Amino acid sequence: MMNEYLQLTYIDILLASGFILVAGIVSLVLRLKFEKTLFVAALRTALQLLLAGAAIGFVFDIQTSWLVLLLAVLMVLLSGREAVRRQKYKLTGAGWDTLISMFVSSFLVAILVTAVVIGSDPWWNPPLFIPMIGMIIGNSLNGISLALERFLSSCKTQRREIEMRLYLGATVNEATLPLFRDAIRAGMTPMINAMTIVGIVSIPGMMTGQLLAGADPRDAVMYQIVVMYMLAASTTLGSLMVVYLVKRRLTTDHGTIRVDF
Amino acid sequence: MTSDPLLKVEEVTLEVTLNSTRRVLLKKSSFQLDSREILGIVGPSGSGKSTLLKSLIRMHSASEGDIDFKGISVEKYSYPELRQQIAYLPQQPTFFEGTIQENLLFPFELRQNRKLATPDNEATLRDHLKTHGLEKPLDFNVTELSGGESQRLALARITLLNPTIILLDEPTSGLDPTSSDHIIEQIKRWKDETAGAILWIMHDRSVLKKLECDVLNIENQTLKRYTLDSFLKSEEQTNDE
Repeated sequence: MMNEYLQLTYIDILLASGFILVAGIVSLVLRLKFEKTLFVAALRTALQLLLAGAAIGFVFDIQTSWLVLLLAVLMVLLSGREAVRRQKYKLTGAGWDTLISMFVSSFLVAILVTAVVIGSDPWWNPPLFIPMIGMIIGNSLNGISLALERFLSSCKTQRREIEMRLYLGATVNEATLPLFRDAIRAGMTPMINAMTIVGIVSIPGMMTGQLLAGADPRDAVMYQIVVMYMLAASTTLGSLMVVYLVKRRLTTDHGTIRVDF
Repeated sequence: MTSDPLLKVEEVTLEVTLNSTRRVLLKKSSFQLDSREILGIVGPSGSGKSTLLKSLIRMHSASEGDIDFKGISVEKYSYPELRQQIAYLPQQPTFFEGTIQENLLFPFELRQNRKLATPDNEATLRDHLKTHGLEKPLDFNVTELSGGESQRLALARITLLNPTIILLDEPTSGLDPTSSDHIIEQIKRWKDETAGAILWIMHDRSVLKKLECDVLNIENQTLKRYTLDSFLKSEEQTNDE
């Protein structure tokens, strides 16, 4: 039977840990001195996932809209912090711009998908909304970081070109337009690449998961298409917003761009 | 009845912040610039010559004082309009990778310059280049131009935009005497043809002599205006002491 779903037992997990043993033996034989780290990592995998599973079970049972939203906000905040930490350039206030962009792009797209496209009632139904916004946040984070970093670095490297345009009568918007476009392209590229190769080179994790859980391949595919489109929208929106906000932050009140970061 | 000078700088104080310490460059300094006038700006390095020029087009904000262009405060102009009317030629001109033609025509894509007459045929552009002493094909790549040719192209690009004042930041430094003379001739001709005015930062006294212009000297954080002769004499005296 194709749709038969085989439940795993703790015995199966124990069997699978034999694979870790193989890796451990390699480390011992080649004296990689990796055994301890490997053992700890394997243990962490099991513990963290078991905890996450328990948490997810708890979250999926939440029937209060504001609690679900609070959790989503928390997810945005945590990953936003990560995005700020990763930034190469320390521009005061850019953290806020990142957070706002993450916020707007992920909530807007997640709500549109669950409420309008999938038509779930209520739209915040945790088993749907939380995984959806989780996927969006992860991808937005990536796009926003890339777009922001590209914009800031080209403001520095193309300072003379920007000034030249300003000297010739450009507004700040006109003077930074090529950099603006380039930054948004940088934010969107990984997503467009992913959409280009999906299904040929890789089967996305979510689709694999649905298939393993016994879903009809057609359903899994349809969901995956929606997810890809939704991720494309949120990375684009997030990149656009963050570059726009940061550009405004860098625009001085005398019609120039500052690069003191 | 006396008409307004083209540019009037009154009691202007300029400061810069370097490594979070403020430094005063110019204190309550004033000068005027009229049509058909060239003023040479001299002063030690770091005395604020470039900052002064940049403050006129608001690429730098003066901390005190008034700057009027055609009788109206520069703060009343939109930045693009101000910078089209008062053109600034930096020490090292910047171009996009591309041809001479692309670089000459690019500024006309900017909203501020759209109302200007775009040179609509290649013959006009070629003539314009020729009057600026640049006899290169329009599809010539700008990255292959020499230093002197780049300066001439930069000047050609600016004059195409029909400014009223041109600010020059040591355009002849590092150029051989022939190229340098070329720039001087172009600027003089531009001034005679358009009744425009020029502020010119320079170190080289020979350029000053060729331009036969008055001098603004930055001394003790203020601007002092000299005629060419009195400036050269005062320098001789200082050297004799």
